[in-house]
Amino acid sequence: MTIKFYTYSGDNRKIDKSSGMVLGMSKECSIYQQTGIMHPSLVMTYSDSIVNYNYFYIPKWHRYYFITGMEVMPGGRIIITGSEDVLFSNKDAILELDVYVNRTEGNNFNKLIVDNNFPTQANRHCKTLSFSSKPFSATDTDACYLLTVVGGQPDEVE
Amino acid sequence: MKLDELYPTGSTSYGIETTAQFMSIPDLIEKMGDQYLMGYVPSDGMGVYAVDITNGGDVVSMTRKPGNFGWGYCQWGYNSGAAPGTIYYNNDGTLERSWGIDYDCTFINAAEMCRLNTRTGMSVWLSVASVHNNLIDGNKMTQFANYVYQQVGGVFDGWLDFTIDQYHDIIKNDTPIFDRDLNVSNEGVTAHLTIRPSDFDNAGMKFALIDTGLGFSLYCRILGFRLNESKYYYDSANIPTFNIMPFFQIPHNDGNMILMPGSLDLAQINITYNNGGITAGRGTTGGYYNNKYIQNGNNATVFGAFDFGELSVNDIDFTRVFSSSLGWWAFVGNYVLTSTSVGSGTAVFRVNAMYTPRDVYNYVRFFHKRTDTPSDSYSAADTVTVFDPTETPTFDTVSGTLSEIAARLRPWQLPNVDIKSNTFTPEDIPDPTPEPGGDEESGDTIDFVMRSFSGASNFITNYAMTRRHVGIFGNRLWTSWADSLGNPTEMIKNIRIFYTGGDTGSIDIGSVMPFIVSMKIFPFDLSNFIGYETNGIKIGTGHYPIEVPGCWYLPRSSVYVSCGTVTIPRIFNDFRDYENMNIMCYVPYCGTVELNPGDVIGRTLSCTYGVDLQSGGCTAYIIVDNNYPVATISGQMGSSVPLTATNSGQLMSQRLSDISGASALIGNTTMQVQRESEQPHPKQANMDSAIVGAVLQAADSVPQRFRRSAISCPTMSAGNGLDAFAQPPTPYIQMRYGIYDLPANYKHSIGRISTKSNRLSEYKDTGFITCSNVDTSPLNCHNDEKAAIKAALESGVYI
Repeated sequence: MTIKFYTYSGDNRKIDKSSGMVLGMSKECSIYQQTGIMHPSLVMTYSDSIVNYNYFYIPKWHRYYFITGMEVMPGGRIIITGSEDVLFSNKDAILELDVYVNRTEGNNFNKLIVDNNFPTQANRHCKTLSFSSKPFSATDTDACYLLTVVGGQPDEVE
Repeated sequence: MKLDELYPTGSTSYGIETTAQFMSIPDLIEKMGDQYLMGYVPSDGMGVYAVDITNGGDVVSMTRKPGNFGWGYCQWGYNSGAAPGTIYYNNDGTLERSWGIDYDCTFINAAEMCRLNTRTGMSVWLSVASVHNNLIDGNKMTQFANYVYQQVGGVFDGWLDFTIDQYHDIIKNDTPIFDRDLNVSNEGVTAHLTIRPSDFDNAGMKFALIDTGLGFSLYCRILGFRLNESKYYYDSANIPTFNIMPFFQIPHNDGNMILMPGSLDLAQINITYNNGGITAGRGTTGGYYNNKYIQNGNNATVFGAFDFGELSVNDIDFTRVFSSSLGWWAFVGNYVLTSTSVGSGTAVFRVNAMYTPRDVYNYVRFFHKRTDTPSDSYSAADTVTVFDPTETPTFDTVSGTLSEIAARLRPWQLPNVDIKSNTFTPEDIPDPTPEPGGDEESGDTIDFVMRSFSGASNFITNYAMTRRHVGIFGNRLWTSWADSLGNPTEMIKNIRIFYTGGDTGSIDIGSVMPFIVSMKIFPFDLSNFIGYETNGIKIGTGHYPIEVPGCWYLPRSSVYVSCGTVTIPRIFNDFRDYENMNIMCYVPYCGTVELNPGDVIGRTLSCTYGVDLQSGGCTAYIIVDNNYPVATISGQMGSSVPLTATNSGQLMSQRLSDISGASALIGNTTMQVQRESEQPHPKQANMDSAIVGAVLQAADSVPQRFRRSAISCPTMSAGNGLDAFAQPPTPYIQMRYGIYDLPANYKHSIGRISTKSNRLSEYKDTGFITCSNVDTSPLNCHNDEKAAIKAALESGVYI
């Protein structure tokens, strides 16, 4: 069967890896031995350029794989082992899943929920803020006396 | 990560081949993380800067390369005269233009770009420098379309920026601002693209996603407006273009930043600033003033008009001119006010703001000049909403907030903002929408109004006096004469009643002292509460008042004293403002009280005392937003002035006891109050005791009492009695909060907490995400694959 080889340079945890994928070559290969769909072993004709690839796609299976190993065999053959990239292989369906989002890089997070992952230093910061007015005297010379006497209301100065 | 590591020194581009000039923004974000990228290409050809804002706030990477911005930026110019089709780079000082590019000034905040343009796949940010109306060159557009179509293979997202002439008419009539064929000649594909103002939404950035019909779409933005299309957008010899950038600041001549708010409907102001002063300003050169175009002396680009109100050159302060060609920046919310410089020794400052609808809040970021470095460095300050959609902001509005901003400066933030080297390290931009303050509230509004009690009556009367008045009063109480032997004699004057009618003569009732209820000293100016000025103290019926000219009759028995307000800032703008946060309020004469962060964060507190003038007691109310009190604490503010030797002796005894016993000094307010009230009424004292000392002398013995208060402030040393005498007379707030060493790329590698349950597609292009409760049953794959998918989603993927 024909498989397509790619060079992928992005994060393996990406669901959609299209942006980091560069198509290399297509090549005929065969199943090397009894193998699972998720971890196939394929054998093909060796070529020098094959070692530059780290990703492949099996059209018949509609699945993408990380190349996990290459073994060169005598006689001009090479064995490619892969591990299925379940995310990219099912990217459209995954996006349709309903999930409970625990953490997100996007803006749809709740900043008021305590995040225990925030590393906190042992020391603290102290910030002092003064009120805007200073009605109290710092010295007695600015103070005011209040005399209370027995008696009625005084006359006002004209 | 340093730019040098990403793009090795000596490369002609930043690790990007000239044939592949464009890097997708998501990948760029992935490489640069939360670093902020800046690119600046002014007339003398500067370069790209990358600034790491996350390493303790210090600039650890400020790489300046000659103008080479190969990371996904391309500019499109009008009337540039440049040969099209050349990729722009400037590694050795030469400039080559692409698609008619002129010099450009571009700042990109990667996070912002990611947020705004979150498409995966190829992303190109284009800026159409001077597209005005339909004057864009169709050939250039064709070439651009060709390039994109061929290079990208039909899947492409990019930005197309417009400036619009005759803004009012165009918006009113929804006249197309772009109406051209796009010819991908090599492919034989033609499409007609029409873009109208109505295509743009009102979500802040005023942009539209336009499908070109060629298999790719364009993000289009309206950058600015011009009233009179007969004027050129810019002088091609100087620069010109205006691209809306997220982060700018305008320095003030005393270090504070002034940001220009304004209507932001049309915004441009040109100011030419020469060494030592402003030689031209708004209304005198450049730009529009009151919708009238004013030509700038340097023929700098002008467009739009800015309604600051009546401003003069003196209203706008700018710091000195920098010899660097790098200019000043300012921004309002997501909109920027750009500046650039032209020539040496002169900075041409242009303020250019994006249109914003009036129903959107704008905010202002302020920066304060650092005083701990000799260089021109600025620390990011706070963000203040200055644009209230219900009123037009004015320059005074902004200026009035500067003092508030200064009070909220956070010195640990981003210390190294070196203008000379054009480093700029903005912090995370808070959301432009106002945050709710603290705990949620609902229900009725409390009628909380401070009131004073008027206790004036014919039984007792209060007089407010200064030290001088007290001295005069004391002296008035004494009479002196020489006895028959010529011996000087002094005694307290008596009250004398004179007979009237058929009787003559008089009798002495006795000393006036029994008629004096008390004298207290308060640490604030009672004259604010006076009734009126009087000439003397009425004793008894008061026909003959004791003359004390200028003292004041005080018709109140209680007053309230305001200490003003303070706004408690949101330090982190997230849960850290409430967790691991302690807020204490020191209240003079009362002590300290702890405040619940949920009650006060983001709110304005006022401190108001209710003072009982008769007892000297006080209660301080900490009130939130002039609405309701969140804390009260009582104390003793007024101190009695002993008027006789008896109560003077009692007072001294108490003081000595307080000084010698620390616990007694710090002691509680209640105990002190009791001591005050325990001083006997002068009438009860042994009046036959020798009366020593004048009243004024007695007054001198008690002033330290003002500084004493039962404070349980954690910063006070409880064992030091003298502290109480010297404690500050101004209330203050202390916020103690944690310091967090947040790793770089926290959101990208760990993510922030979410509580949403959604379809994953709604999070497309948002980056890192972890999920739980994943139901993989709808997936059409094997169980082991489903298990792997579930595990991947739970551990975290990039979506």
